[in-house]
This record gives sequence, C-alpha cells and structure tokens, in this order.
Amino acid sequence: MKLSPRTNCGWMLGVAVVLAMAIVGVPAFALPQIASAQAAYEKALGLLQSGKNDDALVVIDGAIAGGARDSSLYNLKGLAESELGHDKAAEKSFRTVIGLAPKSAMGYTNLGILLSKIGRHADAATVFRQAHTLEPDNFTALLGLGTSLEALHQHAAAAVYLQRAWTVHPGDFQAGYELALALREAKQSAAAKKIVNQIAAPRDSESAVKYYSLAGVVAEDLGEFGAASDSYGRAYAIQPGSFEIYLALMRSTLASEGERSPRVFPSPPENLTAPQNLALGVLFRSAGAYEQAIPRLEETLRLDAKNETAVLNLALAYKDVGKASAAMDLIRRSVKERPSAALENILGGLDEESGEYVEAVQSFQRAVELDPDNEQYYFDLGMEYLSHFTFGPAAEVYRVGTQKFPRSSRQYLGLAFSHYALREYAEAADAFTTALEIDPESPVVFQAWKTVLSFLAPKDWNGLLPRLDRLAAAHPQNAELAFGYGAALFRLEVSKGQEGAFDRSQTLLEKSVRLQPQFPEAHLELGGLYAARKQDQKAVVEYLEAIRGDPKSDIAHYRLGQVYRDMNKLELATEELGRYQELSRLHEEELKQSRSAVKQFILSQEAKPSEPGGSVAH
Amino acid sequence: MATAAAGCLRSPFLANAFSFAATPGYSPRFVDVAREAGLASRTVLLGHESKDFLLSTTGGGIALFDYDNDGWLDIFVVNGWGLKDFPKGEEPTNRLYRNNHDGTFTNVTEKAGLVRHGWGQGVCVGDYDNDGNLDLFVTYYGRNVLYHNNGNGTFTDVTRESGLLQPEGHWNTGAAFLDYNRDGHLDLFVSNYVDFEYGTKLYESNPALVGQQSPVIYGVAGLKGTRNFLYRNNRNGTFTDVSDSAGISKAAPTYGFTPCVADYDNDGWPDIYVANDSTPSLLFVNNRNGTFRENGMLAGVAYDANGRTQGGMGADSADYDGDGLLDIVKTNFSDEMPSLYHNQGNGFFTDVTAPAGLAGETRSVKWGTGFMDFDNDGQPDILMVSGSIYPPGSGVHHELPKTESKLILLRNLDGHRFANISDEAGPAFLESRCGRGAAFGDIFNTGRMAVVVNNLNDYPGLLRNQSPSKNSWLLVKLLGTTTNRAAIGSQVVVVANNRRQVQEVRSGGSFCSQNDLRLHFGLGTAKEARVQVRWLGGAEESLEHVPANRLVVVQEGKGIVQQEAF
Repeated sequence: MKLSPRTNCGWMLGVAVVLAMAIVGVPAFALPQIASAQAAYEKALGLLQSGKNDDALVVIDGAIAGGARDSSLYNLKGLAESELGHDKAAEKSFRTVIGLAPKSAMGYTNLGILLSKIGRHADAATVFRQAHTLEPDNFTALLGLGTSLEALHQHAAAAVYLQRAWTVHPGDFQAGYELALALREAKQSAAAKKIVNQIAAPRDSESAVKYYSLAGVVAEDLGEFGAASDSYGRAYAIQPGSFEIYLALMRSTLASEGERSPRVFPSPPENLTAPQNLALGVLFRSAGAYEQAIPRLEETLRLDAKNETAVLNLALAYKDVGKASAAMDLIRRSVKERPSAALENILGGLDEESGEYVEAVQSFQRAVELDPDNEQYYFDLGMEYLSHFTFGPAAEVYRVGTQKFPRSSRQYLGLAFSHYALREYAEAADAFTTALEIDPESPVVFQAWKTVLSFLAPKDWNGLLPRLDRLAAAHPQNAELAFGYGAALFRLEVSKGQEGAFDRSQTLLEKSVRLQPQFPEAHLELGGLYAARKQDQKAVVEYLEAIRGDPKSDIAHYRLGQVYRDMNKLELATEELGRYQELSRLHEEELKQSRSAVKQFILSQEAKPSEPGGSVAH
Repeated sequence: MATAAAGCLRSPFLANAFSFAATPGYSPRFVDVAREAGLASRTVLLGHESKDFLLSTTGGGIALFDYDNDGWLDIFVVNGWGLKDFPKGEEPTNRLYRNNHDGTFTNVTEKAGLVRHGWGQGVCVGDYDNDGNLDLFVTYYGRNVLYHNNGNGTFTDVTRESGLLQPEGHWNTGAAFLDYNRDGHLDLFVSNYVDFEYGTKLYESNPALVGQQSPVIYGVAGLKGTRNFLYRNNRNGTFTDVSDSAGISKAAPTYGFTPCVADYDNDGWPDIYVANDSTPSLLFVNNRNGTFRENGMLAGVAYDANGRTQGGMGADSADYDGDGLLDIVKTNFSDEMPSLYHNQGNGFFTDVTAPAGLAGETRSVKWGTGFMDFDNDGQPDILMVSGSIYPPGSGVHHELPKTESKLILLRNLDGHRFANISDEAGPAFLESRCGRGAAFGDIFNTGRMAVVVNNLNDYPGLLRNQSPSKNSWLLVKLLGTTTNRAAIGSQVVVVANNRRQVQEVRSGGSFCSQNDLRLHFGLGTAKEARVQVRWLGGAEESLEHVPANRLVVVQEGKGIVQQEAF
C-alpha cells in the first residue's frame, strides 16, 4: 500500500510563521523606515493570523512601496502569497528574503516548503540542503530535505536526514512518520517498526489514519499479519470509507489465519466500484475465503458484465465450493457472448473433472484456436489426450506445439510420451533428447529422458549418441549428462556381444559418480559395466554403493545377488535375492497405483495445475 | 557300439575347445503352403462382439508327431471355442491331419476319434504306456484329455481311467511328458494359468477404461495365480497326482504357460523350466529322489537381467553356442525383450539377451518359439511366432496391426550372436497373423526343418523350408527299451566338422506345443558325423562315421536299427 507521503504543509506554515517572528538586525539610517516597517509587519501579521491574507498583502505592499526592505516583511509577503495560491509571487518573495538575508535559513526553508507544496521536490531539496548547510540542526531544513528526497524516491538518503530530524526533535510525529516511511521504502521495515513504536498515535483523525496505515504496512512487511490487521482495523475505524485501507485490512486478516481465530470481516465501504469488488473477490478467493469471494465477484459482474477476470475468478470460486456446474454454466454463458481462450481453458479443466471428457477436449481445443500463441493451452490440450490414452491426437497436438514453441521442453516431453505410448520408440527417444537439449539442467526433464534407457533398442541409439556426446561436452560438470551418455554408449556396446568396447562408457560412468557420489543409478550402471567386463569385485562395490544411495532399489539387490552367485558366494547371493524379493513386492503395490511412465508423467503434471493469471489487472 | 556308463554324472563339455570349419550360410526362404497342403480348417476363438474376455487370448497349441508310425509327421491342431453357441455341424474341434507323404494332408479327426469341442489350450505327445504308439494329451480351459493311441489310426479317451480326469475345471495350459524318476515310464507335468473363474472375466487392454466397466481387468497382474501339476505314471496305465510330494506345488502361485523339460544341470535327470506370464518363471531342479526344488531366481532364469518380471509365453532349449550345455530361449509380451539364458554349467544361467543381439525384438507379443537350424550350418537359429493379444474377429472388431504379429527369424551368426533376418526369410514372414503355438520338425522328410503354426481365427501356417542350403544334415530317432519307448529325456550329441551339438528328446515346449521327437542336426559341409546317445537312465552309446543326409533310428542297446536317406 502506497501511502501519500504528504498531504498539506499546514504544519510547516505555522513553523514558518514562528520563524517569521525573528527580526534581523538593520542599519541605523533605516530606523524611521524600520519603525514604519515594523508597524506594517505587526499589522500584517495580525491580519495574516486572522486569515485576512489579502488585507495583509495590502499592508505589506504598502510598506514595501514606501521603501521598506525588511526580509521579515518579504517573508510575510511570501506566506500571504502562498496562502492565496500565488505561488510564483510567493517564490519571488522568498527568494528576495534569501537575497536580503543570505545567511539565514529562514528564507531557504520557507522557499523549500513552497516548492514542496507545488511539487518541485528537486528544487525544494536544493534549497533545504542550503538551509541545512547554514544551520545543520535546523529541524525544518532536516525534515524538509528528508521529505523532498523521499518524494524523489531516494529513500536511503532521505532516511539519513529524517533520522537527524528525529534526533533533534524526538517524538515529533511528522519527523517520526516520515522517517518510518523512508525506512520502509528503503526496505528496512524492522527499523521502521522501531520508529513507529516510538511515535504516539496523533489525535487528529487524518494523521491517525496515516499512522495506523503505516503501522499496518510495516507489520505486513515483517509478516506480522495479526498486528497488521489490528493497525489497519484502527485506521479503518477512523476512515471507514477508505477502500484501500479496507483492502489492506482484509488482506492482513486473511493472512493472519492461524495466528488468531475466528475470522472477523467488517463491512466494506459502500458503493464499491467494479474494480474494487473484483480486487476483493480475487483477494478472498486467493486466500481460500470462497464464500466471501463469490458475492464480491458476482457484484463485479453485475456492475461490469464483460469483465473476463471476474468471470474467471468467479467460476473458479464456484468450483472451489463444489458448484462445478455453476462454474461451467457461467463460463459457457460468457464465452457465448465473448469468446475467451482463458475461459475455454478453464472450462476444459472443469469438464475434465466432471467427467465430460469429450467436452473437455473441445474446450481445450477452442482455447488453442482462440489463442494459438499460448503455449499453456497446447500443453493442456495434449495432456487431456494423454490422460485419456488418446495417444495419436496427443502426439499431433504436441507435434504442432513443438513447432510453435521450439524452446519449450515440456512440449517435447509431451510429444515424447505420446510417441512412447504409441510404441514409436525411436521418435520418443528423439523427442526426449530434444527436451534434454533445451533444458539440460532440469531434473524433471532428465528424469523423463531416462525412460529412454528402458525401451530403446540398441540399433536406435546410434542416432542419439552424437547429441548426447555434445550435451555432455557442453556441460562437463553435469553428472547426469555424463551418466546418460555413458549408459547409452554402454547399451550399444553390450549389444555388440564380444565385440563390445566399454572403455569410453566406463570413463563416462566413472566420471558421473565422481562428480556426484550420491548417484545410485550411475553406480548401478557402472556395476553392470564391470560385471559385463567380468570384474566382479568392482561390480560388487558399485552395486553396494547403489544400494547405499537407494536402499529400496530392487534391481541393485538382484544384480548384486547374481554377481555373488557367479563368485560362488551363494549365501550372500541368497540374502540379496531375498531382499530383492521383499522390495519387489513393495514396488508391485506402488506400481498398481501408477502403472506406466506415461501415467507417472501425467500425475506429475497434474500436481502442478495450470491456471491463467487471476490477478486484478488483466 | 554301446558303451555302458550307468549312474554317473555326465561328463561336462569343454567350452568351445574346438575350432569350427567354415560353413557357408544360406538365405532362408519359407513359404506358407498350408492351404495347398489341405490344412483347411480355421482355429476358432470367439469372444463377444462388444467385449473381450481373458479367455480370448490364450490357446493355440499344435503338435507334430507320427501317430501312425509311417515315418511321416502328422499334424494335430488344438482348437478353441466361443462364447456363443455354434450352428450344429459347425462346432469347432481339434483336428488331426494325416501326412499323405506328398506334401498334402488329410483331415482324419473324426476317423481317429479326436473330435472334441471346448476351449483347447495346448498339447503334448508321449508314449505313456510304452506300446510303441505315441499318445496325445490335450489341455483345456476346463478338463484335460488323455488320448491313448490304439495303434490302428484311432485314439481312445482314457482320461478317467488313467486318473487324469480333473474333478473341477482348471485353466490348464502347457504340458509335457517326462520321466522324472527315471523308471522308464513317462510321467506328466501340466502348467496352469490363472484361476479358472477369470476366464470369462471382461478383459480390457485399454487401461483408461479400467474402473469404468466393472469388472474389467487389465492384464493378469493382480489375479490369483495357480500351481502346476505333476502326475506320476503308475506303470499300469494310470497316474497319481504327486504335485505336493514332489515339491511342485510348493512354488508360489504363478501364471504358467509352457513347460520346457531338459537336463539343465547335466546330472542325467530331467529338470523342468516353466515360462510364466507376469510372474517369475520357474526352474524345478530334479533332486533325483522323486522331488524337485524350485531354483529359478538363483539360477538366473526367473526374470530379466534387471530382475524384472516378464510376460513369459513360450520356451525352448538347445545348445546354441556349442558348449555342450542346454540354453533357454523364452518369448515374452510386447515391449519386452525375449530372453536368452546361457547355461553356465553349474546350474546357473546368465541373461545374454542383449549381448546376443535380441534386445531390439520388442514388437508384438511373442508366443511359440524354437531353436532350429534352418540352413543346416550346425548353428541353431531361433524362430519366434508373434500374435496380437486379441485374435481378429474375436471380440471388439480387432484388426491385426500391419507392422506387427509377424514371424521372426534370428540367424545364429557365430554361436554367440543372432541377427534378425525376417525380412529376407520369404513370403511367410511378411504376413501378419495372430500366431500362438508352433511346432518344428522335418515335416516333408527333406532334411530341412519346417514349421507349423497355429493362428487364431485363421488357418494354420505350414511353413515349408525352401532354403537353397546345400549343407548336410542328420535326423536321429531314438527308441528306448530300458528307458521310455519314445526316449523322451535322452540326449544325442553329434560331432561333425569339429563342431559339437547336443539335443534332447523333448515332450512339450514352444508355446503349449509339441515338436518332432526326432532330433535334427545341421552338419554343414560334413559328410558324416559321430553320434553319441545318452539314454535317460545313464546308459550311453557312441556311433562312429554315421553318414549324413539321412534318418537314423537308434534303439537303446542296439545301435542303429534303421536308416533312411531322404
């Protein structure tokens, strides 16, 4: 929440008036004029304090016309002009004051106040800095300079001067407030909180609202949502018509769930606009307060029937409270009037959850047609096909997806799994490898790519090896890429029977475990290589490492058992095979839940549901 | 001259101690001549027009055996059934085709007394009463049937009298006669699949529909498995179920398909390997005292190289690398490699599927399989039969995918690796069929191995080997006297051109099927061979300078009693 840092400078005017009371010494030959000027000054001051600014100006101008060159008089003139909104004239007067009394901070500070008032913060900062130079502990100069720098978003610099002002006048509300604000803006919310706690809440309502609002903001920054809610609540109690404060109050109250209970939601301001209702609706929905979100979103639509974000959020809120049919009806009505890719995509998900699979496909398809440049929609359409084992259409969707979004690794993963399910293994391996080339550091992509090791026939590895070689070379510290290439090479060489050459694959696999000692799969593969080379003892070491890294690996136990058997260590072999059988039984149970790599991929994607942004701004 | 060497362990072979003379490799060429040959009836397997059932997926055994002892292989085709009634006169039945010796066959099913309707699954052959006539055992989803060969071209159902009538229905699959206790009489091993009740359960291979039709099962995983059966021959025409006492039923329940009996540990006693679907395959090792111990996992033949269970279907055993030890090939489900297990000689095997070049064979579900030397170069090759899970027309309008369900021929390159040469193997390998069982034998008595395949909802395939190979060969038929008459379980070692080959007479195997009991050896360029017979029971005899390119009949204790050049 961005607070308005400055409202009026009325308080500064009072200070200026006091300062204006200071009389600068004058030469002896001007005494008659002084007497006249003094009289004019006192009269004008009285008129000014009575609010009779015009009259005060007449007196002052008269004295000046009579030859008076008193800096105090010009100062008073500047104040009167400023009150009358004659900013240029006021500026001229204050500059005259500076000209007449260049070593007095008064002129500078008053000029600074004026410039601040009219938004010329850079100029104001300059003159305040001059005043500060003349009088380092001048509170007005310090405060003015700090607030000007704050207005120029130089928060850290502002805080320095405001801290000084706070030191000169500890307890001063304005100084403390501005200092706390500057610290908060400089991302020093903890320091800001300390200042806030030292300020007494002012009595005037306007200042009090600002104070409580700032306290709320700082508390939110620090994650103290309960305290933030309290502060915002007090601000809202003073100013119940402020939507911004109400929004902040709701936000912090919702976030403080768990810190306190039950939720207490005060009534919002009246006559909220559509955007305001939407903001509240989205806030409530994102916090899981669906029952509160729905009326806000419904009101938004009543006021602005075409608001797509409201439709989207309301539909999701309906779904969240178990009213999927209402959600789908809402979206269908909306898209009938105004086609929307985002809404069709949501509708697709709702259709899917409702078991209306054909409609789901149609909705996802429409989303793609309406926004063919949205990668998410292609992905979702393909997933819909994949999840219902309609692999041909899934492959087609992802084929197009990979062409349109050639840098999207997940499009290639979708294509790969589609090919895999269609038993087009060479094509699947190609797509998996492309995904890996796009995103070689992604653990998800690598996990998916490893599927290739389980299904690709040796004769089909030749085409992939150069690509794996390049990947491994480009990422020499990547253990997984070294493993992938090494394992692929090993499989190809094994298929050559006695002519197989394992040196290169051995080097790669040994490198992978060196780079990443906790890499059970690599140890397993390396163990298999040693076993193939009849280096049984080394195979044992690697299998034991694999087991150490993944005690539940039934394959490792099985292979170790076979090696022990070949070494005639039958007791150990029997022990390992027994362990293998236990683990195998456990895995069978798990496999019942997710039978295939395809299903595992689908499940992993469904754990990260995709939704278009539901923010206020659209 | 016969050499007695009773009761001792068989001498282990030296691994690859001999160099091989160069043998030319010839191109294969197989042509399906089934229709011309008269195999004119379709194997039927019908589900429901709108649903699929698990029972729609199995069956299809086939046998090659000389039922009338005329020296020519006849063909027995196991048939299935359907979920609807058939019009009278059109009910499918098993079929026996008699070999006319001229490349054609005659359907003699009715005449032979073998008409029977039901969900036939597999078949095996053996002379259980040692009367010199090969008897027939047919497995069913339901109750099995033992047919006694009467010796006059007819058979008699003696199931009840033999004690083999099951009191309740079972899902029986593959079977094999074997003399597990070496008493000279053939016993019987029968595999079982899943619990009987699942046969007519809805079966849907689309996992997206699981849970939406109820009850629908996807694959057999999770179903209740079953145990296998061993029946001891009482030597009086009857059998006794000794599954429990022999230790067969101690193994965990599995989904059994095909038993492949062989002396895997070379101790002179038959062991039993069972290819199982979606459960560990089993290796029952003969303890030589009437019992078995199951040792598949430790032996390394239960799973793939990673310990993963496979959908095992069929199996065969032969010494593909010439080290004198019987290795195993097993077919598996689609997207799984077939398995090739190399016998290490100590009762253990190594999965050499990948180094042997079989790792890429993942297309299609594969069923029947066998080692056969198609070009007689002395190195056993491998043939596999593919077939989709659903036979065409069995249920929901299944059509065969054009790129799958084809025969696979793997040439043995060098005794270590195989190469897929299916595309060059002739027109029979270009067709998509829903194959199941396969039987291998010299059907046309030409010295070349042929294959007969049972295709579901289709005609059988009779693949005539027209390879232009000029290599020599030898066909050996054994007649037992002390051992069982059909010499099942006896081994023959042939040495020619410094190449040693060993084979064993076997009942059952492939996929629930039966191969020619005569043993075929390719001899390459050799003109003669040394033949050593190891009779089950321990006796051995050696025959020197046996001329090539003929059938030799060797009778236990008498040497060659008959020979015939083809």
